[in-house]
Amino acid sequence: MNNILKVAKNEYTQHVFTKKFWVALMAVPLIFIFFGAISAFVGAKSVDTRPIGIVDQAGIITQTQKLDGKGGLFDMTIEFQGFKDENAPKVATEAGSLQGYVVIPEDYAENHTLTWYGNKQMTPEVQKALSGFIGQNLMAGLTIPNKERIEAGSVIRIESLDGSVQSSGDSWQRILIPAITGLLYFLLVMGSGNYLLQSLVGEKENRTIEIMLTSVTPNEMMAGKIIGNIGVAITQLVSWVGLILIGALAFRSKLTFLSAIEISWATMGINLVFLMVSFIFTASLLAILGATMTETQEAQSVMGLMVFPVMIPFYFFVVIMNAPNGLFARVLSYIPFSNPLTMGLRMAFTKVATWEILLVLAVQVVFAGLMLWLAGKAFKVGMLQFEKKVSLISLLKKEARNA
Amino acid sequence: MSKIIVNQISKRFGKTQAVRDISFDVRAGEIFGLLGPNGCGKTTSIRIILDIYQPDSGFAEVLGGPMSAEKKAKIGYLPEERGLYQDVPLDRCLTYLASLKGMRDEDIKAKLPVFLEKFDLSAHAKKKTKELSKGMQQKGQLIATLMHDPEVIIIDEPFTALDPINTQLVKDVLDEERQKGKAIIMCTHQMSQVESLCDRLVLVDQGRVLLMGGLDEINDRFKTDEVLVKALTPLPSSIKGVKDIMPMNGNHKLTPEEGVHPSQLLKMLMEQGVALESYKVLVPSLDEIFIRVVEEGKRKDE
Repeated sequence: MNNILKVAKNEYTQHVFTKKFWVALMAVPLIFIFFGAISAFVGAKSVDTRPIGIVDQAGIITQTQKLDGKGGLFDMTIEFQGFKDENAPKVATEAGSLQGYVVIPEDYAENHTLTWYGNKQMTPEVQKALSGFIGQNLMAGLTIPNKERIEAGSVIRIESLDGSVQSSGDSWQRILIPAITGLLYFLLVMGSGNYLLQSLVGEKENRTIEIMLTSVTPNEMMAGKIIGNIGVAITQLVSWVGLILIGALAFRSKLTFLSAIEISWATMGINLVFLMVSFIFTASLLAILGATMTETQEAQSVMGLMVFPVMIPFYFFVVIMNAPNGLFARVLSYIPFSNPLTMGLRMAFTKVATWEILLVLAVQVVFAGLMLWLAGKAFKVGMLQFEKKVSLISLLKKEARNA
Repeated sequence: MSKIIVNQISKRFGKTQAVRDISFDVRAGEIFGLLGPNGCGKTTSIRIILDIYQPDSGFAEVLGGPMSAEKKAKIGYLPEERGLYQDVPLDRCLTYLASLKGMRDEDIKAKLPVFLEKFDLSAHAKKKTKELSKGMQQKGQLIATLMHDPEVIIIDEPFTALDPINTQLVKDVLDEERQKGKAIIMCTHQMSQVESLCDRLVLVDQGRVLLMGGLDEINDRFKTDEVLVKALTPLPSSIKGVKDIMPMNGNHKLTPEEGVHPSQLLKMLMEQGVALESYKVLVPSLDEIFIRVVEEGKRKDE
C-alpha cells in the first residue's frame, strides 16, 4: 500500500471508527425526522376533519363523497354530508359535530354563489376541494370529450429552436437534482472539509507533522487526507441515502409523486464530476488556511466563514433559473464555490453547449490542480510554524524562497 | 564510512541567516553531537538533512546520495517538538507511524510488543496517548523512531521529560544502536550526556560551525596545564615552578610557569616537601568549553 493510501486509511478510520462520528451522522436525519414529525403533527392537528354539511337547494349534487383533506402520510379525509334544509346542519354546527355547512342556492346556475355557515373561516384546502367536488357533480352524467384529460391538466415540454429537448416536467423536478448536488457540496464542505481542516490543524497542534514529513511528502499527505475525507463524506452520504431509501420504501404507498421524477444519468454524472472537482478545490483551500493556523478553535471559526461563499448560488437561485445562459450565471459557473449548483441549474433549465461544459470543467480542473499544488507548498512551510500564526502572504513568500 | 554528509549548507529565512556554510559528516557506529544554543541553526540543519527544507547553497547527502522516498524509511527521527496522535490508543498510533516507514503489518505485530516491553509501556498500549505522562509519550515517540530499525537516527533532546531511570534506559538504547553500526545525530543541551555518549561533536552558533572534532581531541585542545591540589599542610606563599596560586573551595588551583608540564610540577612540589592529599590536572568541562567558544564567537562578531 503506498503512502497516500496509508494516510487516507488512517484519516478514514480515525474519523469513522469513533462513536462521535456515528452519533453526529445519525443526529442529522434524526433531527430532520424529529422536526418533520413535529411539523406534520402540528399540521395534522390544525386540519379540521369534522364533516361539512351541504344543503343543495339547486339540486346539482347527485353524488356525495369523501374529500381528501391533507392526504399524504396521515391520510385525513373530510366527509361532505348532504342535508335537505339548514335546520339540521345548523344544530350540528352549533353542537360541534360539523365544522360548518354550505348552502347551494336555487339560483346557483345563474349567480355561481355559495354561502358558508360556520364559526370559522373556510380553509383554502376545503375551498379548493369543494370547487372540484361541485364541478364533478355539475359534469356528472354529461358526455364531455376529453373530460379526464381536462381534469388531469397538461405537462409542458419545452424545446429549443434547433429541436433538441431542453426540459420537461414541473420546475420542482428540474430543480431537484441540481439542488441535491448543491446541498451535497455544502454538506461535503461543512462535514468532510471541516474534518480535513481540523485534521491538518490537529497535526500541527499535536506536533505530529514533523514526523510525518520524514515519512511522506507534503503532497502525499495532502492527497491522503483529502481522499480519506472524501471517504468519510461518502460514508456519510451513503448512510443518509440509505436511511432515505429505507424511509421511502417504508412509506412508498404515500410517496407516489417520486415516480414522476425523470433522472438523466449523464447529467447526474456531469454534476458529480463538477461536485468532486469543486470539493478538491475547496479542500485544498482549507488546507492552505490550515497551514496558517495553530489551533483547532481557529479552524472552527474559519469553517463558519466558509458558509458564505458556498451559499452564494443558493442566494441567486432564481436569477440563475430565469437566465441560465445569462452573463451572471455563466460567471458563477467558473467560480469553484458556486460551480456545482450553478452548472446543475443551468443544465436543468437550458441547453448548455458541450464546448462550454468542457471549458468550465477544464477551468475547474486547472483551479483545483493549482490550489492543490499551492496547498502542498503552503503546507510544507506553514505546517512547521507551530507557535505563531502565519499570514497567507508571508506563507507564499516563504514558499517562494524555499522553492 | 559516512552515512550523512553535510557540505557547506546555507539557508536564509527573510533577513535571518539561519545556517551558513555548515559542514560535517556522521559515520556508521558513532553518536555525533550537534550542539549549540537555542536558535543557532540546529533544527534548520536537521530539516535540510531530512529534505524538509532545501538549502540555498551546499548539499546534504544521506546514505550515499540525495534523500529519496526509500531512504526516508531508513531514517528514524525524534524531533524536539514531540508529537503523537492524542486521541488514539498508543499502539494504534505507533502502528500507523511504523507502517508509514514501510514496515509490514506482521513485522509491526511482532516487534511492537517487544519495544513496548523494553520501554515499560506494555500496560499503557491501549490507552489514548493524551492519557499518558510526558515521559511515557516521549518513550512512545522513541519507539516510533527506532522500531523500523533505521540506519540513521536523528534525535533532538532525547532526555527531556525523562527521570534518571528512563534517562539511563534511553542512553543504553542509544549505545545499543551505536553497537549495531547505526549513525546517530544527537542534539542536546545536556553536556553531561554529550560527554558520556558522543564520539564526535560539532558546536554551532548563529548558523555557523564554531567547533568540531572528537571528544578527546576537543578536551585536549581546551585543556590547560592548571592543576587542582589538596594539600595536607598549608602551602607556601610561593612555590618554584608555579606562577599563580588560587584558593578554591578548600583546594588550590595552581597555574604552572610557562614550559612547566603538570607532571613536572608534581615532581617539583614533592621535591619542595609539599604534602598532598590529591593532585588533579584541570580539564575544562564541555559546558565551560561551550560557553567559552560561544562567547569568543560573539566577541569576534563585535
